[in-house]
Amino acid sequence: METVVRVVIIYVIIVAGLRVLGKREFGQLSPLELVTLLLIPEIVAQALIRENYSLTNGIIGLTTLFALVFFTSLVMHMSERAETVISGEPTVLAAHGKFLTDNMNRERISPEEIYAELHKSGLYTLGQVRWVILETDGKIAVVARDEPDNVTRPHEHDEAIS
Amino acid sequence: MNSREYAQQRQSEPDTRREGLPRPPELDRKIDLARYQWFALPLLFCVPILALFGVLGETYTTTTVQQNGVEMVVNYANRAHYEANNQVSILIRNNSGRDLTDATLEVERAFLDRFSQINFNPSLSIIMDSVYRIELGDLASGTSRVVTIGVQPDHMGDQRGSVALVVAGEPVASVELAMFVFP
Repeated sequence: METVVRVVIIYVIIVAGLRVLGKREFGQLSPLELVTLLLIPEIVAQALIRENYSLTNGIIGLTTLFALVFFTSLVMHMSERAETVISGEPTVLAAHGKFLTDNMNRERISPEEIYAELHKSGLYTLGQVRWVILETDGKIAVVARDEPDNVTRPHEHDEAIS
Repeated sequence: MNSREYAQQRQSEPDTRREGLPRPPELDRKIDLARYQWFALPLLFCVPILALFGVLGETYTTTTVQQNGVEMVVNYANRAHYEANNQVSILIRNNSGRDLTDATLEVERAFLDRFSQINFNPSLSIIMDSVYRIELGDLASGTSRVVTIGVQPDHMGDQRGSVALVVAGEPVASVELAMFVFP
């Protein structure tokens, strides 16, 4: 009975909190959201299994986390500089058929990973690519050249520049 | 430099690391909340702010009484958390100028029965129908005794009771306790 009440209370608070924060916060898994999602069970578990004894502490922890997430997203929205500091910027890994080795080494991305992403986009050589971009959420985006069929031989343009 | 100037500067600066990758256009950034968010967000922020000011936390209070030449100082949590350990500390000082023989401390059962994992120091002597009794022995003039009771709230809400010093079967001094237990 008591556990059910506790779970219901925590569940309602989590759902309401996520709803209040809006779609943006949990629609994608940026580092900020990842930290949030990792912290929620850590805080709530104590209230549920009662290692920290009280539901009050769980609610305080949870609302504090939601308030922090909302405040951070507000600051990021109002200030492009803050957004850059907190979320970072996209990194171009390859441009116009050439690897950018400095950026690849800085982000620890291998040519194999880039090629894997090319294959997912239906491409097979770097010559077909205008840009390969590591986005701030950690995903790699591939922008193909307008005329990909003008590439005749695989690896023809796969030379590295730095 | 404000946010707009910063954005314009970034747009105009050549960025060699971007290799011609265009930047997204600038947005007129402003706060636009839904109606329910204007109500819900202050409530959301209210809880941690109240917690920061200690409204939702455990607090201790000290109550001092002087009755019949006996000073009784009781320090206890007037706000506690459910199943979180806390302590009731009772100091008894005999200022009456005479020795008090066979002094006992009695704590109301209606209060202590709302707790679990109760530890008495000195140890409990006997449990009566309505009180827990701790024998203190003779209390010479000018001397004092300290009794501590470790408790863990087992019930939420308002818990009330009393602690009394009894000498030769007669209550000499007593203090009312009131503890609010958060869920």
